[in-house]
Amino acid sequence: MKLREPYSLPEDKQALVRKAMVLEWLTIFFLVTIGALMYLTMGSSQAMKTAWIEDMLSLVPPISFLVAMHIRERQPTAKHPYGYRRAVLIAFLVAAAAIVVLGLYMLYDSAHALLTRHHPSLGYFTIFGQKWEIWSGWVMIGALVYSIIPVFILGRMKLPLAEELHEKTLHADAAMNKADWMTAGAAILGVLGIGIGWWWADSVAAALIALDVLKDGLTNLKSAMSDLMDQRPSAVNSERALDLPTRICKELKGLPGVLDADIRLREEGHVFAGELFVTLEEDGELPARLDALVARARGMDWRIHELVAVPVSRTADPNPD
Amino acid sequence: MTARTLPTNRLTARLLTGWLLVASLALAACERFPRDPENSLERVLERGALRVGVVENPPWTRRRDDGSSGGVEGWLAEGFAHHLGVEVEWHWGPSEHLLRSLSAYDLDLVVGGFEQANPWRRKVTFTAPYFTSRAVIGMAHDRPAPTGIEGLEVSIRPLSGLAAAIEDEGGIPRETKTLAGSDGLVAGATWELETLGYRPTGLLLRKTEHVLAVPPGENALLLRLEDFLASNGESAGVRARLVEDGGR
Repeated sequence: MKLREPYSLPEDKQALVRKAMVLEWLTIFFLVTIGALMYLTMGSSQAMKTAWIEDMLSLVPPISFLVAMHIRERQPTAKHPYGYRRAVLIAFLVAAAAIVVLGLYMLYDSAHALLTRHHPSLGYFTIFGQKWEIWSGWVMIGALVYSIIPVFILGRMKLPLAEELHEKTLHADAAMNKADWMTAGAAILGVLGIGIGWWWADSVAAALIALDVLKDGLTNLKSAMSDLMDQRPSAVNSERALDLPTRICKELKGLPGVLDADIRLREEGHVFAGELFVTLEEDGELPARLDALVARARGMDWRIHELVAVPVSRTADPNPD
Repeated sequence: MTARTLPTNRLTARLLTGWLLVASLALAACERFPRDPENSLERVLERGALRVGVVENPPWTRRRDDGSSGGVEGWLAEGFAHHLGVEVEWHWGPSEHLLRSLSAYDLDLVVGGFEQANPWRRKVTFTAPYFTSRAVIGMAHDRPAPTGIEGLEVSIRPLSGLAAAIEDEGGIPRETKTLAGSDGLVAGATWELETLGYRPTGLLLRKTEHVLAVPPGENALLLRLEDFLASNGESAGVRARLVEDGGR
């Protein structure tokens, strides 16, 4: 079986990938330290607990991205002639489904705390059996403030990279990071609420965070599913279709000897692949001319990985546009 | 989260900032922080009485003829009431009943030798441990300390709950009515062994963290009690009380 030829990024994009990977490693480092800090200061606050789970879940996209970058290097094999990229997508899909389930559970847990009128108690801060003369709420707020800053900055740095590299996982991750400060803010309000004697503030904040987790999970689930379903090339920051197919057709139709051209492209993560259908005036030197058309089309966008050109007769096109 | 949702994000951001402002104003407005959602501490001070539930559990609590409680925790409850400048209203009963009343804010404090690992911790609030009781192996002062208890007989009181731990260490637990007067190895809490004139060793069998119970989420009351316990806990008083009480 003919194996697909491996894709390699343009030089300038490779440098960006390296930068993105460094940022993702930094994200993992900060998320782990934040997670540890929040775990140690958690106490019995429901909001703090959900904020902690959210923080831990935020590890899923950066880890998926780094694993994907690693697996992408693998060459296609006789057993998997199209390569290994989908393995990562399947893992990401499963992780997204897990986030949705966890979000639902967190929502149930907070609603339950609210309905049973659970009054959270926060005493002095105790760590490793050692008691400190400071209200544990202040320590929690400190940990939450720490959780906002590095992740927010990293999120902002990752967004433009995701767009330039056409990486949807990276984009979902960056957008989640950027919005994370709001969940931490909600948790801070919950803790302050406990302090001024509003026992319900904590559960309400927790429910808001759970809703955000649910939303993140659904966004990632949708992104992974449409990726697995061969969706058309679309923008990273929205689901708007790219005008690339139209531009390619227009370009090719303008060439001498080409009567008609049509294209069908699908997204395979950060690259596109598909078929090119061309109607030529006459069939002389067919292979060479098809190769030239493919080269021309591929030259129009760095993301086109594999394009197969098929000569068709004018009547064979079932849906002419 | 996609770029299309950004406008709502901005709205949420503004709402949150607004809330934060209101919350900080409310924060600045109140002197005491944190406060009780159900105002337990305020109501104790208004009432002039601390409603204390007591579960009989010597040496932690011990019923006196006048209905008050002796024992370490009776002493702590009285001390805390004194610290607040109020009287104690004693309510004796079984723990299930008293803890349920506490969770409904019908009591302000329940004492009775509660340990930190306790299934009620979801329904009521326990203080941080005010005393850690260590059950160890001990022996008469004139005997050498063993390095282990493998194959040795160890005397314990009935229901001490130490038999399994002794067997784990390879020892042979033997129940006796009283630990007094044994010339072999004995096992019990360090303060208990000291009272009976034994020398406690470093061979630890069990550690129990002792706590008091307050109504759920009443954080102002909790912190006041913690403040009181910090100056009357482990180092000051409790151990001496236990030794003294056990000697009776």
